[in-house]
Amino acid sequence: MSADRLFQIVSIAGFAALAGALAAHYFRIVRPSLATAPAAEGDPSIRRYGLLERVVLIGLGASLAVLAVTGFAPALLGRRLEGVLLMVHVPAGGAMAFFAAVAAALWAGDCRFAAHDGHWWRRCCCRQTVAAGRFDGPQKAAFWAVLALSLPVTLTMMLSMVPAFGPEGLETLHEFHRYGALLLTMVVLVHWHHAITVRRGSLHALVAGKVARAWAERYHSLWAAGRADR
Amino acid sequence: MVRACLSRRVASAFDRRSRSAAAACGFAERIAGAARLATAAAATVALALSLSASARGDAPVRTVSPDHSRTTPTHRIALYDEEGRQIRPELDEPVQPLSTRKTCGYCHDYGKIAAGWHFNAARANVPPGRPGQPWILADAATGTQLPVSARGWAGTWKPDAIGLTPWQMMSAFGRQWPGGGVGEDRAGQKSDPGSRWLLSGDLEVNCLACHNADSRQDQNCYAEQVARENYRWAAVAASGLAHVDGYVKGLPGNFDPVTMTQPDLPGWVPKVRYDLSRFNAKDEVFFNVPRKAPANRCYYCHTNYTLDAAAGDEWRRDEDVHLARGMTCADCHRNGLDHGVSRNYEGDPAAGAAGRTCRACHMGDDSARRVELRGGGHLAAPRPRHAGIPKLHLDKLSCTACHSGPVPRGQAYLVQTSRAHGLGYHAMAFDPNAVPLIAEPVFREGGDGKLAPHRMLWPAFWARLPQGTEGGSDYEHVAVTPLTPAQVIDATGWMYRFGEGRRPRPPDEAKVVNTLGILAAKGGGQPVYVTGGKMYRLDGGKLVACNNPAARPYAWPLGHDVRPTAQALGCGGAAGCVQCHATDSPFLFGQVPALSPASLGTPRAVRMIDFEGRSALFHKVFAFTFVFRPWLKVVGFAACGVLALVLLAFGMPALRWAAGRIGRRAAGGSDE
Repeated sequence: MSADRLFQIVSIAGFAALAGALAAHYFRIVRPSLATAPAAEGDPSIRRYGLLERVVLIGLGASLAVLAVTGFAPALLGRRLEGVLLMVHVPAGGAMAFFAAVAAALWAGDCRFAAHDGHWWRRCCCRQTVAAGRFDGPQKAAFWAVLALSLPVTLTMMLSMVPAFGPEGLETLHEFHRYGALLLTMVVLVHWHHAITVRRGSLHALVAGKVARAWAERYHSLWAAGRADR
Repeated sequence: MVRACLSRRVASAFDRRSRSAAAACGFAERIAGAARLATAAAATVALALSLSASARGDAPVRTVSPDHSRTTPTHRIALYDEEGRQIRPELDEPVQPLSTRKTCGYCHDYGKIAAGWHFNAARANVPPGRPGQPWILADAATGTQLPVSARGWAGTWKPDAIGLTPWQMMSAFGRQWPGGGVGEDRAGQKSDPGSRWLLSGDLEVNCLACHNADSRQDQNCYAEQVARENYRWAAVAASGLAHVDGYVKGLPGNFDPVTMTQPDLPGWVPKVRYDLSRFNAKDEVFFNVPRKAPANRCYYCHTNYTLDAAAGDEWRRDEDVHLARGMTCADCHRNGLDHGVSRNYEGDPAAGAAGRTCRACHMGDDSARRVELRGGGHLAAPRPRHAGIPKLHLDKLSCTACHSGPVPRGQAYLVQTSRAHGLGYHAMAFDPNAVPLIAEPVFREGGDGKLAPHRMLWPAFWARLPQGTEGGSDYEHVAVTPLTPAQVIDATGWMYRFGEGRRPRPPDEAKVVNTLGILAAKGGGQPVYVTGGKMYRLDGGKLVACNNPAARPYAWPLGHDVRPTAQALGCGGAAGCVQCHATDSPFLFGQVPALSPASLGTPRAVRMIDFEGRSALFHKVFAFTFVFRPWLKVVGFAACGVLALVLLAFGMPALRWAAGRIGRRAAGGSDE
């Protein structure tokens, strides 16, 4: 079996499993609790993201989306990434690396794990509300996973652009790149699932930069306690 | 049994070896009333000769079994003439030229060798392989450059399709003809009433042309003998073993090849004068004939000279890197006794067996059945690193795309080849403007779907359309029947005849119009002139151009000269990438002029990418992105640095915390 074929199978299996898991989570855990979820846009009184942060988050998300589509569309169809898709993929990769680096510098401090982050699974599994700072446990885990995976995914492509490796070496780098990208994409999808379905209003917060106090106290109670209304 | 044997010998005498009988027949036909008598007499003579000959058939008299010694056998051998009689130059009268069929064929299977790649073009059951260099029927005066090949490569014309007889083939291409094939095809010769085979003799496979390592081997002399129609004498004259006088071309058609006398033209009757010092006491001669043909022997027919003023004269140029490293052509282009010389392109069955493609030697062949072939490294071939070259390039480009031929520039070069332009044939002075006009390198997809450098010829020839197409509108699909230069000259009379030493001028528009008018007046299908990628015809007295498949260029892949790694396209890191990935890259956007031997305005130029079947816009944009590659690298590596620092800065304390926690738990203490 060729490496391309193997990757195609692994990708399809991975995305299918992830889609199943997210769907199960949504219908078993998330949907029953939607009635009590506060809206972020209801009374936007607390500033959650500054302009720079929003630009970085949107840029990172958009570049990741472009990379996922251009990278996995041909892979899932058993084709090679080339032509126009490659031409879009490469600069999107540069943008992603840039935004990831800025994101790392912006939020690494806020995403340091604290003792209360260890209880995030209670909300996930037992529908309990837990205390959280500016970012909760899943967000911090996603942040560090994105950073940890962005580094090899970016570095493998950067190294392939310098004449240091032969075709076999480049193939190895490519293997690391695409399997790393597969993991990265799955992490991002989980994160987006978390942001879009679990904590409704996150997207609004991303665009508007502000959230309602009720929303902040529900999901980020420790952070909301220290924030004055604006 | 004896009778059957005798019958066969008689038949053989008539069919294969009785030149005297056939000659006498021809002579007798010209002398009314004496035919039967002459034929009978000749047959009797032939029978007598047949019975007395020592070696008759094509099968070797003495079978040589390979003993697998690496020592080259010493070829101190007797010479035999066409009749299989040993040549004794001091005793024979007249002295006969050696016959390779009989001399080399005494021990080696001539029939098997004569079916080898160099000789088997006209055989019906031979796979043509990938397109190669055709014979090119070229004539500057009539503006003709017509690719001809009996192999049936798409874009070439088979000799019989354009009325070229074996005799005419030899006249046109014999100077580099290796012998064999139609040069000794009796069936084809008999059906050619205009030929003079009975006088010229056969052009047998010239074993010495390739295998004679003696520097006295003179293929220029061979070409001269062929030009004189001294086919039977060409091999011995070229070998340096004998001097041959005579000029069959000047002998009258009723010359008697049996008696070999022509009282009124004694100087034109071929005579062989052997170098007696080369014969030992047993009338044997030593030949320095190694198993592997020396490269110098190959060069007579396989020299290519790129007309690149920047590269300078021959002494300024490098040769193929393999030869520079001490290899010879035959190290890679191998063959067994069947002389099925491997051409070494990907998919060549002969190369597959020998494992001598570029890839097989330098990179190994994972699919090879023999384990030792999987790793490559034949003849100490270095394994390339191809540092920084994505595998995509190896999948989409042939090895030759980056490594072979001249480095492409803004416009394809003119190239001359020994077979097309007579390089090495001293009777043809070097002329940079000589037809045929061949361009190189032209990058286009080969039969395996990979981009490869090609040599390209835009056909130019006069032709006729089928009867009844006059005034039709479907000129773009109609089949044409080419006319040879001789047919055009015969039809037009004075227009294309030039005095001795006068250089013909290429046909201009007026001449083309006149010629088409004259050809039309002669009747037959509508005449047209194909050149520069267009088909020209007369419409109301004016020259009108249209497209036609016959006008499409014929291209064949080039394999040599292979340049060293440092001169390969793409070598040199980032600077190497933009050799091809640039908006003005010759590899993609170099111009290939539709070269025409006629003066019909400025030849139109076609971009390489138009032959490659790729989108010019896409490649322009893609090449443009390479402008930003350095920036991308800066951003990418800087981002990696930041990410690494952040991960280290926050990861190390996390690790320290995790390790401490694990330690405390292991010690039975509290996490707090």
